[in-house]
Amino acid sequence: MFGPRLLAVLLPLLTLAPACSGGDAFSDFRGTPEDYHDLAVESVRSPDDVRDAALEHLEDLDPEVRFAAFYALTITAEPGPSMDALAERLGSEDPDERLLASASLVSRGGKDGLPVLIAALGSTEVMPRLDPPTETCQYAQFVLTQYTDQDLGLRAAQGAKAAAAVMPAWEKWFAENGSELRWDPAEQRFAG
Amino acid sequence: MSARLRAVMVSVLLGAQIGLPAGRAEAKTTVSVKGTVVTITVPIDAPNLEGTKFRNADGDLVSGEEYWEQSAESIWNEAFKLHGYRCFELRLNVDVTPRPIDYEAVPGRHQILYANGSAGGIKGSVLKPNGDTTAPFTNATDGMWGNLSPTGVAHEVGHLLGLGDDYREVSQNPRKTEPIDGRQHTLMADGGPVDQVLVDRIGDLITKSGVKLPQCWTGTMKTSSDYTLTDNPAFRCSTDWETALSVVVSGDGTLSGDAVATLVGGRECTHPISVPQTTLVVYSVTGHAFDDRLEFQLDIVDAEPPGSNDAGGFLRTIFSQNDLAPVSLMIPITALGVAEGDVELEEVSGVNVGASVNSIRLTCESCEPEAVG
Repeated sequence: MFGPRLLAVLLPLLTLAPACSGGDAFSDFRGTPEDYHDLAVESVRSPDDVRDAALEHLEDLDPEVRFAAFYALTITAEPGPSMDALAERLGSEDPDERLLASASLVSRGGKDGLPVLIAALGSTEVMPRLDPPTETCQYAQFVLTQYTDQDLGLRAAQGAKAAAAVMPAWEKWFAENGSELRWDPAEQRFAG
Repeated sequence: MSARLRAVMVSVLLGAQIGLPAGRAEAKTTVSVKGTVVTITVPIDAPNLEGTKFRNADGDLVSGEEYWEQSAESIWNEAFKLHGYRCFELRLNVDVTPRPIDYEAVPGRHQILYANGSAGGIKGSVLKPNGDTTAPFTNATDGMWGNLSPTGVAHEVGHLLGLGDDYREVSQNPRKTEPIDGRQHTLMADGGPVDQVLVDRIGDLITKSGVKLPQCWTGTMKTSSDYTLTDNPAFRCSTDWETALSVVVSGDGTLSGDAVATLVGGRECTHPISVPQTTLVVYSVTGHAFDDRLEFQLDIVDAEPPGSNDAGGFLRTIFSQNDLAPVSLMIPITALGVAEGDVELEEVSGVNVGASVNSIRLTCESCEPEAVG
């Protein structure tokens, strides 16, 4: 098909192609543990580049890449499109997306994530991508006590049933104080 | 693939090729043994953790390194108090040092990047082979952790102790997992508590990694003793005792441990005695293991009730009445991991004669074919 001389010209170009094709943190992403590790390293070391690339891959056809892009945003998000993208996941049916988005927002002072976490108290739905897979109530319990100045019996709650029992108190607290909550950067939590 | 994982794999291949223990020099999770206490130290360099704050179990804001250390140590060490490994008590010491983002991994310390995301641990949280492995004991390991709950930290440190996950993926899209049969509600499956199985697996990994733990010998000594007066043969008291022994034998044959003796039934005497009868004695045990026998002495640490003595003479017989030094008890090793025999003791002091027959049997679960000492 190609003459030897033409091949000699094309081969170096083909070899160079991947490096010149705008390859990002998600190029050749297979979802292996090493891929996720490398993605996390890149997210920490070059957050701007990874954030931009993640936004482009949020609707990738490959579900593993889609999740990886979302995961990268939980590390790199900042006010603007990236936090908006996380906020869009607050209504996701996927418990990993819904809870991780809410926690990521809350840890950055985004109080929109709080109602999602409160609603998860008492739920035994499992977040299968976490290591170890964790019930949403257990995850919400950790995040709420980590990033608010409230306890309302939650810290001592053992298991979904006990967490469900304190959920009304948390709902009441947020209904009464949600609009006044302010993020305290020094204390790394919301205070009413 | 991380540079160090690649380097480890290359070193494994090279090691296999030239017959050297792969990555041995690049330590890792380390183990030290003192008596029956086995201390596991997990050294972690943590790029990007510097300046972070987390709320601990008490709600206090502490540094990231304190949070990781406290979370892992409290969960594991509480469990180690409840669940021993053979005759050993395991203890965990986690040593976390925050490092700059671009810090290069160094030999001898695991490197865990703090990725400040909401997913505490996901795939790649600790890069190691699947399943239980001795790899963290022989090679430093890489990983990345986000905002982990205390249970999450303990789970990830479990990987640095060599434990694999106790759950499996049952579908990829959507991803679903389930605990391995029988492992529900345990730390490496779903964040439940640490159970005896996990502790035993860690102990087994320690020995598989090449750490030579002392031998554990446990067993009982059943004693029948009599106390008589030569100038008054009508005077006679008898007691029976059962003593639980637990000793370790280190590589040089030194034997040490403890024992608890309990009075079986009451004392039988030919006439009334006003001094209270001793019912429980705690001993320290010292001695030496030889190829063909165990030799040890019992030294009293405590006796109950206070101010009591043993009318049956047992306590007299295990001490020389001349110099009050403990008498040496010797039993032959009759088979691999079995030492048993009867030891007859008699101590005469003036007209007082104490005599005991002590049937001792000790077994060693962990003894290997090579000789002791």
